[in-house]
Amino acid sequence: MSDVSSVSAGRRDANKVLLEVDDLAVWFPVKSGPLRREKEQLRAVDGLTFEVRSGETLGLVGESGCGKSTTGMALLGLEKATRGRVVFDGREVTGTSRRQLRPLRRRMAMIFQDPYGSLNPRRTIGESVAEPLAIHGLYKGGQRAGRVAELLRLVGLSPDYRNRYPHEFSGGQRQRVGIARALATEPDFVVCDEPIASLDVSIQAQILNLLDRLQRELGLTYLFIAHDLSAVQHIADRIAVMYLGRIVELADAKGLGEDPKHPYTRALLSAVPLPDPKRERQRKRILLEGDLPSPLNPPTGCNFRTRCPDRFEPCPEIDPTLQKADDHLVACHLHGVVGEPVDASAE
Amino acid sequence: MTGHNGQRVLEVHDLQVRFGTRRGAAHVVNGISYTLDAGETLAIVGESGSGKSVSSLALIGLVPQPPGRVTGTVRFGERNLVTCSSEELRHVRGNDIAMIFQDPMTSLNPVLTIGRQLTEGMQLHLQLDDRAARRRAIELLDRVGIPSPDRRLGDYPHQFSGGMRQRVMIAIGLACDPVVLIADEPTTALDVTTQAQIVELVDDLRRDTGMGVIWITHDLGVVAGIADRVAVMYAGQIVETAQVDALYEHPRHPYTQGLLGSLPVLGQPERELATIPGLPPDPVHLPSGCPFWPRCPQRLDERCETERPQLRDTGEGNLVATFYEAKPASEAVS
Ligand SMILES: Nc1ncnc2c1ncn2[C@@H]1O[C@H](COP(=O)(O)OP(=O)(O)OP(=O)(O)O)[C@@H](O)[C@H]1O
Ligand SMILES: Nc1ncnc2c1ncn2[C@@H]1O[C@H](COP(=O)(O)OP(=O)(O)OP(=O)(O)O)[C@@H](O)[C@H]1O
Ligand SMILES: [Mg+2]
Ligand SMILES: [Mg+2]
Repeated sequence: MSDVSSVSAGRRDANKVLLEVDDLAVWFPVKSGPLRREKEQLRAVDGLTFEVRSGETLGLVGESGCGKSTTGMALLGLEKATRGRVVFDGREVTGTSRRQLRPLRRRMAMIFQDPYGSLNPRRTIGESVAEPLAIHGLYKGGQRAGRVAELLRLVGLSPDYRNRYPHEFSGGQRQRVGIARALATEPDFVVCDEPIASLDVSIQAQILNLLDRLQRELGLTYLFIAHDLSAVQHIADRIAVMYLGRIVELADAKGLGEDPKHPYTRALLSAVPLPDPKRERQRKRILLEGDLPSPLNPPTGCNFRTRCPDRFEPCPEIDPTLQKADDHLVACHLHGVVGEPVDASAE
Repeated sequence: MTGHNGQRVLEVHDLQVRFGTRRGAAHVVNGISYTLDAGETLAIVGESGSGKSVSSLALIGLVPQPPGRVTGTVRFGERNLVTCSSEELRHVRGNDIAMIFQDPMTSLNPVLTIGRQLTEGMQLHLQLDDRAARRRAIELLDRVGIPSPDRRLGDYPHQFSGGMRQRVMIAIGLACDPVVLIADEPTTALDVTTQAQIVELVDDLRRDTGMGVIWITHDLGVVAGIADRVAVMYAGQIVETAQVDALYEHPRHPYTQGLLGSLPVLGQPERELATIPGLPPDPVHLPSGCPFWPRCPQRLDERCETERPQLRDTGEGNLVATFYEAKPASEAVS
């Protein structure tokens, strides 16, 4: 982070939009009721509009089940959109067949939370890293082994490890293998889905620093998914906060941390424990009432209102849209004009 | 976190736990000693595999022997829990020392109602009749913040959310007014907003009942908020222990300092994260000498590799097991 010139090299196209998401929704049909005969729609993602700029890290935070992974999958075309559009570098991802998507898919990759589950235990790590190359027909013949060695070195592993199996590695090492695999096809855009959540604290820092270095060296664009706000704030340029399938606030990382606008963002920030006893003791937590509502049956109007400490008359009636408040986009009737939509890309 | 009344409730001395494995003896807990007072919260922190859970299970006779082997003393009142019969230990667990675990779903019985699981222990240990037990169950659920508790007694665990299940586990733990509550990562599986609710709840209960709390976690943020005192474990040993403020203000063990330095801190995103190179040791192949020397940035000479450092007082309130203290963070990070 100290090397200013390489930071700007990685982020030189910082204002170019790489990914555009417009009113994206992913609903899952589920069977419910006592006899499992009723069909209902589970609204995992329900109307997201945002963009990801080339070279930036957009953080996506929110609590378990709010739709972060589903969003990540839908951006890569791995989950079908029920509604809305995803456009990657000018080309539509939504509604495109897997086959037609393949050249685009090469430019996008995903790093998963669970470095155990995401590697095939019967393949050597060299085979796992080479797999995307085979799928996309890249680095044929003898070149492929060279590319695998190069990728392993890039993530700080010795190329001598290529013939070993995942169980011979620690969690942090496996996560490095997962990262090498994701980078095999030279993607521009990488969805990092909770890449450090399952790792020990002393290893988390190693992986965060690695992701940061790779971004600078390779000019990568990240969607960084996490429920840990302190990690996201460390690595992200901008942060989107999700609640029950919606974005409730989107702002640059610093602004979000210093001046959160949405009552949910405030509660979330106030709940993050700080490793500083003096500040922890003085801090006033905003404790939310009750539990997350079911995405099968979200509340009317603003879907946060059932737990919101600041709710007032319009909240049960009118669904707030993302509107500009200072430099933030906020979906809350406390900010902006009730009911008036805003064009999120006009920010 | 506030002053406590000072009466000693638990005294652990040189506790060791070994397991026989196919690869050889696993030295999982290697001589830890600490005390707990009434009304006090002691946090035990350390990374995965450092022996936090096993050392706590060993306190109350829950380490299976064999393959485990537990030695040392755990003084609780008149008793040494390490040498107690399983009968006596069951009595202690039912009446005096309660434990709540990380995953409330696996520790609750899925086929029994919440009410049944709450009243069972009370009827056994407090000799309450059905009506009295039911009344107490409702009172406890209310105490841990379950809305309309009288209507939830007939529900099964799957009808509760993760946070509510952890509340039920706490209610069960409190049913017999324990003297000591051992909470083993009770919030790790929960969201931060739910975690904040549970942390607050346990702290309120501690203040009201005067129970001593041992809170096991790897989250140094949670520790900062609830602990009076902190013990840092590494490879089955306590490498540093201090009052919470002293530990965070001037960590003296290189491992503690590495841990605190590797945390991203909300509001300070520009700071580069320090890292601890390498991995924690395998308990079957512990390094000789200090268990941290292969990763230690302070290591100076062969003494670290041959002699095990014992906890000693730094004069500032920290007890540290190291020959060479880490410099203050401001000087160490260049
Ligand atoms: N294939 C599916 N079928 C039905 N429901 C699903 C499916 N996948 C996800 N869901 C539901 O969609 C919602 C959002 O899930 P998602 O995995 O995106 O959440 P998340 O924010 O990633 O949560 P976590 O932090 O726990 O990973 C949840 O209620 C989940 O149960
Ligand atoms: N029955 C057993 N046989 C052999 N080794 C065991 C047994 N039970 C636990 N261990 C080992 O003891 C060590 C310490 O385990 P313990 O569960 O106490 O760690 P912990 O600090 O609680 O970690 P975590 O944060 O992952 O819960 C681990 O290396 C574990 O593999
Ligand atoms: Mg997820
Ligand atoms: Mg444990």
